[in-house]
Amino acid sequence: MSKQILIADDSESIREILTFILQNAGYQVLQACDGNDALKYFDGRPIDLLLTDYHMPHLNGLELTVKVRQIDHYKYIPILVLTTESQNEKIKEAKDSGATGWLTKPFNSEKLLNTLRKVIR
Amino acid sequence: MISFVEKFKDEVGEYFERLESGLLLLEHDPDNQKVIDEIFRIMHSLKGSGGMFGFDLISEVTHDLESLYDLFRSKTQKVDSEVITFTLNSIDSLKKLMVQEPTSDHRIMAEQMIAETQQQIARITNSKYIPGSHILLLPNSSDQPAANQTTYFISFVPGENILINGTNPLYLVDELNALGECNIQVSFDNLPHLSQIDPLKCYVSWTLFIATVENIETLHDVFIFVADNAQVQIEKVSSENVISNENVLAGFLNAKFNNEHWIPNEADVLVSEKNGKKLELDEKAEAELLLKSSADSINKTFFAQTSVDSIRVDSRKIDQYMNLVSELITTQSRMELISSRHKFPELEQLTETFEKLIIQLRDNAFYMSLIPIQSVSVRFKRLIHDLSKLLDKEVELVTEGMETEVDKNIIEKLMEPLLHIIRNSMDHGIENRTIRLAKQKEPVGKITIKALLIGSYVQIEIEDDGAGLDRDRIYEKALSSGILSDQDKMSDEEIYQLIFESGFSTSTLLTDVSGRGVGLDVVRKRIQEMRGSIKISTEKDRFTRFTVNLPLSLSIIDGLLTTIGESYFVIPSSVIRKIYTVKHELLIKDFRKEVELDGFQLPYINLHEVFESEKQVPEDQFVVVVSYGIQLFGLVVDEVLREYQAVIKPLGSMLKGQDVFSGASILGTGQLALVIDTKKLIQKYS
Repeated sequence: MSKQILIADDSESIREILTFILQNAGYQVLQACDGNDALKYFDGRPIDLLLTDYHMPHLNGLELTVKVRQIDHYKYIPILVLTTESQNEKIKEAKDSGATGWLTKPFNSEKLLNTLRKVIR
Repeated sequence: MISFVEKFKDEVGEYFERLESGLLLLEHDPDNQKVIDEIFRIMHSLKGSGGMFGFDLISEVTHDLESLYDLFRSKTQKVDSEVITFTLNSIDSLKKLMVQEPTSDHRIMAEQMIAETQQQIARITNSKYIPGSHILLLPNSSDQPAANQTTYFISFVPGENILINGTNPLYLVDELNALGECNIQVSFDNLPHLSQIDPLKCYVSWTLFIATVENIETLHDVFIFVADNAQVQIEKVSSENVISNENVLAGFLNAKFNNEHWIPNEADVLVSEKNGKKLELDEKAEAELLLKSSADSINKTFFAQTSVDSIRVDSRKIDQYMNLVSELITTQSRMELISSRHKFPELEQLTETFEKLIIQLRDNAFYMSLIPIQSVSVRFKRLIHDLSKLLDKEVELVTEGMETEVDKNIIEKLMEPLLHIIRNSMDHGIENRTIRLAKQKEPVGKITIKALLIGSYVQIEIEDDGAGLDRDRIYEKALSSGILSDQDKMSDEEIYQLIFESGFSTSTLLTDVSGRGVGLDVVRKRIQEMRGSIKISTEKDRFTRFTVNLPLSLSIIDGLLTTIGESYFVIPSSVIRKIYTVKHELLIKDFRKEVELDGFQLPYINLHEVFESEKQVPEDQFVVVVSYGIQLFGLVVDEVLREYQAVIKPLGSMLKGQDVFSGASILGTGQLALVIDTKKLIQKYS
């Protein structure tokens, strides 16, 4: 069984390109357009990794992370936050919310997959 | 890829529209936080996506626009019309910058926009604008010449709670492993007892050496997500690949352990330097030792430097060791039983390995306690020397097979009986010089002691070329002392064995030598206690020969566990040749007590009958073919269970008369198995 990754990003093009890269790398991909939409996927189905944008309307990446960490079944899944902020402050904020790691935009497919490999196999 | 770019361009077009309408809204409602948030988010998205799809200038320019709107988002500053106008103009410029391969004109335009944005930020925050703080450079070629491998030491101690946020520290170790050649050590030192393990906590840590072309920053980057929740230490060991140079690695660890400063160096220099240092240390240590140590510790160092081939061990320690091994075997058979009941594959595997090791341990202990008979032969010589003087008989001792090794305990117990036999031979057997000459024999008498291994037995023969036994005198003596009645018909052979009966002495004169209270009856008893046997053969005026047969070891034997009725019996493996199954009917039909196996007629003993088991005889029985001297004999048992290591315990007084059993062994279940002495059994029942 290949691993299933949930992408939460309000930009369709980002979702598309992430999906393209991830599927080519052998992962299964689910897409959500914001935090609230993403939460709907946490219904018991297997999700091995959440890849969420930082800034999203309705529920941002950090709020989403906090919520996911409260759902028993998904409590300990790895979560990567996509951000353009490489400042320590933002990263600390993400980590404090419970994120496993982060990925700074812009990134290429190599960087994405390398980062993914830190938290999922 | 093209389709993504097209999609992105569409999306950007949409963003621009939303930005424009949002900005127009702000003109009338500058405090509309929702709109400000949206503008900020769009700038943010443009910044992130722009770079991903190759629109680097968009990314660069929106970086500062995002920062600008971040000021309004955090409500520290108000949006004014100048900002709105500026932003609207910026959008027009951004549309022009939507190119993947920018010209120098594009770059100049971008530079200008960035400068203007920064001016806006400075104006709004009332700070001074410093021009040129943001310079766009043409992308540099990041190709570096392939660097040499460098060796680093990494210590990675994850925090206990590292697993909580989805981190798997193993992946990080894997990631390092992919970066170069690694030498990885896992430490379980902090692992608590099983009952105290919290599965959500991480108790392991890693230390590793890595030889890689990557720089130290790349290595630090591996741990970027866990920097706040783990202790990561990366140190340069050498600017070469020394991963397989254990001296250097050990030297590094040593220095680290002693809190010394480690200077990464070229590998070869390092080694020689290290060796030099080590030598110095050794000399110093030696000097100190010489200064302060007593003669005793000097001796110790002296012995430590000599290679030792053998050591002397207190024989009680060996006995203790043997006892522990026996206990271990008994315990192991219980474990095997439990394992076969529960059928846990892991436990079964473990038990099997355990058994193999114990067999090796047993053999090892066994061989350790063997000593050559040679070691005691000096006592024979001494005795003969003394007795020749005393009795005025000239005797020469001839020994054969003295290198034969026997259990030390057996030799100890055997010494007295053997010395007694020699005394007997010297006293009663060997004639004095005058008689020998009269009998036309060699004037000098001869006593021969031979030892040889036969299977799991050791045979010791003591032969003298003396007068031999007087059959008639023994017979008369036996009659007169009431050991025999005159109705008893006995072969000569049987009559000779009578001298082992208690209260038997044919010598009318008690001499100082052999008449010391220990008679041949005691000799036989001692030997039987060791599960051995003694036999005498003689020829008048030619020789008298005592043959002693003893098991090699007293305590542990390999055997075959069998059942007869509901009882367990062990047949020693050393005598077993083959095992067959036969139909019970086939056995009862044959009244000659012979069974045809593989075309041979084989005499057999049905143990079911011998031990008078009341249980129904099974349809299929087993014939265990054992050797009996040069003959083969079949022992019929009900069932053959398995191979079994029997730790032999002496029989209690209840079974003392049953000499067909050489001992008993406790099975893993706590049940008793009797060890069959096949030799005696066949003698008795065939």
